Amino acid sequence: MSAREPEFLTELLGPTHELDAFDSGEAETDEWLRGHALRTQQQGSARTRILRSPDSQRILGFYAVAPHDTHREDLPGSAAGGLTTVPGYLLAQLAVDRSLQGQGVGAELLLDAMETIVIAAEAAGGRLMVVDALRGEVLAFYERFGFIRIGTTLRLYMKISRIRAALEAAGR
Amino acid sequence: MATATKARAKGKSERIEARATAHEAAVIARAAELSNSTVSSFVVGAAVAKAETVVARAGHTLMPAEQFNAMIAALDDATPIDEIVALAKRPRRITRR
Repeated sequence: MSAREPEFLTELLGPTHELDAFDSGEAETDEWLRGHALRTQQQGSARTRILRSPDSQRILGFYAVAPHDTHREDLPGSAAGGLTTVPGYLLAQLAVDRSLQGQGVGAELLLDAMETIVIAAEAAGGRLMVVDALRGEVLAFYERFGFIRIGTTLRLYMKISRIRAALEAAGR
Repeated sequence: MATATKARAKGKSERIEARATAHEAAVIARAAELSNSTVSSFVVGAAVAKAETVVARAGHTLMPAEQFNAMIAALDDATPIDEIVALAKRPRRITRR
């Protein structure tokens, strides 16, 4: 009868979380979490949600979301008519601890980030989810879920309306 | 030498140099004093705070005009993406709090 204990939970980063043991295998990402995530959140420029076990404060994964505009890149001198900016959110970071890599936790954390962004868009607007792929294999990860590469950059986007539709179709 | 050793011990191995007018330097020195800080840590602290804001706001993406126009032509596209539907239907290990 009793509901099974969840394996993991996500919540907003706070001062009780243990940052030091986190190891994604990417030094820059780990450094961002340790040195910048909390301050960036206090400044209000991005929010970080962390993944942990219900019985531990040790961080096992995290992602950061910030408001983000996408602008049409008009060539100098061209007539810039119509809509030229679309508001949305940037998934600025997404990482899972090495101990959990290769088990689909990253994809599930991406889904959690999509839910966060859909909730934010319902409450405050926003049409696009933009993500950064710093390496080639990360690009493939996002493309697998339907993200579209922006120009020839390592940035991809997805319409929030399509994410919402997918979540609804899955009955969430 | 002693200071350099102490700074390195705190992991501060990098050196940043900047030029300022006498007035700018005086204002910074006064502000550092008021916040019980050394000029060095005051300047670095202020610059890091500013840098983090800028980085977070690097806040915008430029999209080629052609791609942008095609994208906004169907901004309300509500076609579910199969891979996301499948992902969302999987048994869940994560609970949102």
